Amino acid sequence: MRPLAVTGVGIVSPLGSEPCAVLAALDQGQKGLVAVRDAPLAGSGWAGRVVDFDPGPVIPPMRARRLDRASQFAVVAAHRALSAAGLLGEERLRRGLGVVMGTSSAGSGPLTVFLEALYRQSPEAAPPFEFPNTVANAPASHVSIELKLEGPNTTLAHSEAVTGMALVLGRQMIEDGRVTAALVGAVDEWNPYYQLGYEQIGALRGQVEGGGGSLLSEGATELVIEPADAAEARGARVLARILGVGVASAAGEPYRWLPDAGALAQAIRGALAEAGMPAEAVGSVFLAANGVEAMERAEAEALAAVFGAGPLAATGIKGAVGERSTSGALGVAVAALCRARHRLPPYAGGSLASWPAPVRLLAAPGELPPGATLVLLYGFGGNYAAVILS
Amino acid sequence: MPSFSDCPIVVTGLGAVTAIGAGREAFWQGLIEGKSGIRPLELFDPAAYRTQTAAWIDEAALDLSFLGPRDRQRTSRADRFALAATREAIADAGLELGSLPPERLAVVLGSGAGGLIEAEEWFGKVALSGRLGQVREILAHGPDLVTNRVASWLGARGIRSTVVTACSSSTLSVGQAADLLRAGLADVVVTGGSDSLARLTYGGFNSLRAVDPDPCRPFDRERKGLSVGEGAGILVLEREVDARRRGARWYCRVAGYGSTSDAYHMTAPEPSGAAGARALTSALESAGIDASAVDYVNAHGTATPHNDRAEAAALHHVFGARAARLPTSSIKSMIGHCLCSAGAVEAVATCLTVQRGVLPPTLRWESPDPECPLDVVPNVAREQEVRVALSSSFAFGGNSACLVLSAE
Repeated sequence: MRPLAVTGVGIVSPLGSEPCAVLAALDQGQKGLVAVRDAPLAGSGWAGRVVDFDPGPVIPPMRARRLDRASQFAVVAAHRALSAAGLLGEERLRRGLGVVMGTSSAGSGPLTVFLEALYRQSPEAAPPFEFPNTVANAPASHVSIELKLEGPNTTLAHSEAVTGMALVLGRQMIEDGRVTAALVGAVDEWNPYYQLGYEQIGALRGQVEGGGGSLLSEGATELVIEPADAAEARGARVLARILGVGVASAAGEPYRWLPDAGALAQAIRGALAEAGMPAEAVGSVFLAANGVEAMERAEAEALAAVFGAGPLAATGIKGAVGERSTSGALGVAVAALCRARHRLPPYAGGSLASWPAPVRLLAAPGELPPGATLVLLYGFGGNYAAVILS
Repeated sequence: MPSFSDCPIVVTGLGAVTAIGAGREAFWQGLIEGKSGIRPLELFDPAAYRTQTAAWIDEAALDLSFLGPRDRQRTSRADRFALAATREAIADAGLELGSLPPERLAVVLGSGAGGLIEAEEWFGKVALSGRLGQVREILAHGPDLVTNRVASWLGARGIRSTVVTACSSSTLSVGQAADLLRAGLADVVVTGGSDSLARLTYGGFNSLRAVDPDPCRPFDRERKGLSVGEGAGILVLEREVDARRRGARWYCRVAGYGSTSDAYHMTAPEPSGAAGARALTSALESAGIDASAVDYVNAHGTATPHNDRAEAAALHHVFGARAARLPTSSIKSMIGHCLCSAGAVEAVATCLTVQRGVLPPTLRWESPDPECPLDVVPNVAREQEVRVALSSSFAFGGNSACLVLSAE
């Protein structure tokens, strides 16, 4: 594949909304998890929440009122990513920039407000202004409206691994000549009904911070990707290059964790094949480790199958931010930022106390070892992806 | 990535579940007979809503015998529509599931509400009483569950993707499925979409005063809004070279597609039609086909006053004066607006139109609208050879998409 450059990153996350602040928080072992047991209907548990979010600097208050929370996250992250890439307001990108956004929960806030009114009062009492934002593409659409982007605009729904497919699609838009660059990422909004629902079906096992079990997350992360040669030609700062993306899946019940080392290994091998590099060329990995022991065991098995004894310097962020589509995009963004600063944050925790070879967990911030960086993504329902950065 | 002309993509299998027929042939027969599936809504009590009709599906008409009782209980309506249409499309393509490398079988579907109608029961119980509903109700929620369910039933281990761009979801899903084949990331892609009616969507469009209390009348001067529908359309796509090698026959080519954003408003179409036209132009450009070669347009044609007017304007942007003579029908007059599966169901209809040379009509068209000067194939199907057809979708958020389907 033609290498892609990551030239800008925009983040709204439980660890903050400035890339340097997010990296500093990860380096210091901070966590963006808050107890949600006091929230109405939320049951007990923890979640990665965005606190003290102010869209004001980017979205004027009158316009912000029309946007749901997820859309505000997305517009702010997109604005920051394009600004960081030096592309904000570029007229040539009005029709030459693709938008591909993944989500697990966009629209859930307006949806529950609408349904609460419908059930508690009547269908006629349901607020019409909420309905348009119940669609999952509302955040990506608001990005196009607020930033005047008329190029292809797509939203994909799947678990954390959706960022892998979003990168594939963004790349295809570029290779097909439909656009010259793409804004790729994911957005999510925490919702008490979803917290309850996930708890009820046993997806959020482990209700104690640091204990076993996945936690929900929210926020938005956007990456600007463009052909590496084009980025260099315009003098852009290249944070990292994306050399390969692999996507695979496992069959099974769609609402369960489906640990499948074979599917993850297939995704990793697909990414390596695209990158045209042997496994030995990878020196570090961002684990998908999410606190679900069976998933982490499958991940360890897949890494051993592909990389043998390694070693791979390993880190991971979900222990600090939780898991949703947005955590996958955040993982890729943090990996790109770490490539640029030549330093990795410590592993933020998961379920397994120790990992077998080739994984060498980082207990403290460390130098980026030689070789490419692999980012692993997986989530609910059997979806797996792998991304290789250099 | 090779162009569409360098790597032709063909449709080798079709499946459909609609309010006018369960199964591809029943659907097609309904289309050319001008059958309407819009009727009093019985899926839930509509008495408190502004309108009471919809194009809904009686599940008793579906052959779901291939699902065991446990699967019947654990799946949503949208899952079952999708599974029934997938089973039909795979058989139609002549594919033996066990003979396909599962890593090379991809599933790309469009959905939106998905199993929301079942999940609403759960939301309702929590909202009204604070008590939890049944686990099986909440399990239905999430558009990606439909894709996961279909992929798992197929035993697929390749790429999965769920496109959620509201009413253009499953038009885009077909285009993106073709991209995967062109890029060599899959050998067979099961694509299309499935969506079921839900209180949210029914109540939502009613709250916007966008629903006609009577069956809808696309492009008619007296139109008052859409009729909400549901259903599934599934297409099996392969590279033509692969289909030819295995001796498969095909309906038509997916010759290209377009995807653009209006960047205008969350619900209102850009009124000049220029924004909508860009999706059509982009699709034709990707196909390398001139607008003069287009024989037929399967329109979005929702029957809301603003949308139909903007769509007619878009067609005039692309085709000039010829737009008034170019056959352009809206099958939503028969199957309602199937929302996130609308594009897929309409793509299935358009594939059959290209193969069979019969244009489905626009029902209930009586009064010409000077602001929609189109040949809408009024009320009666028409025989006509179709070499190149467009199937277009315009969605909330300004997500516009268009497929180019061609005989060769």
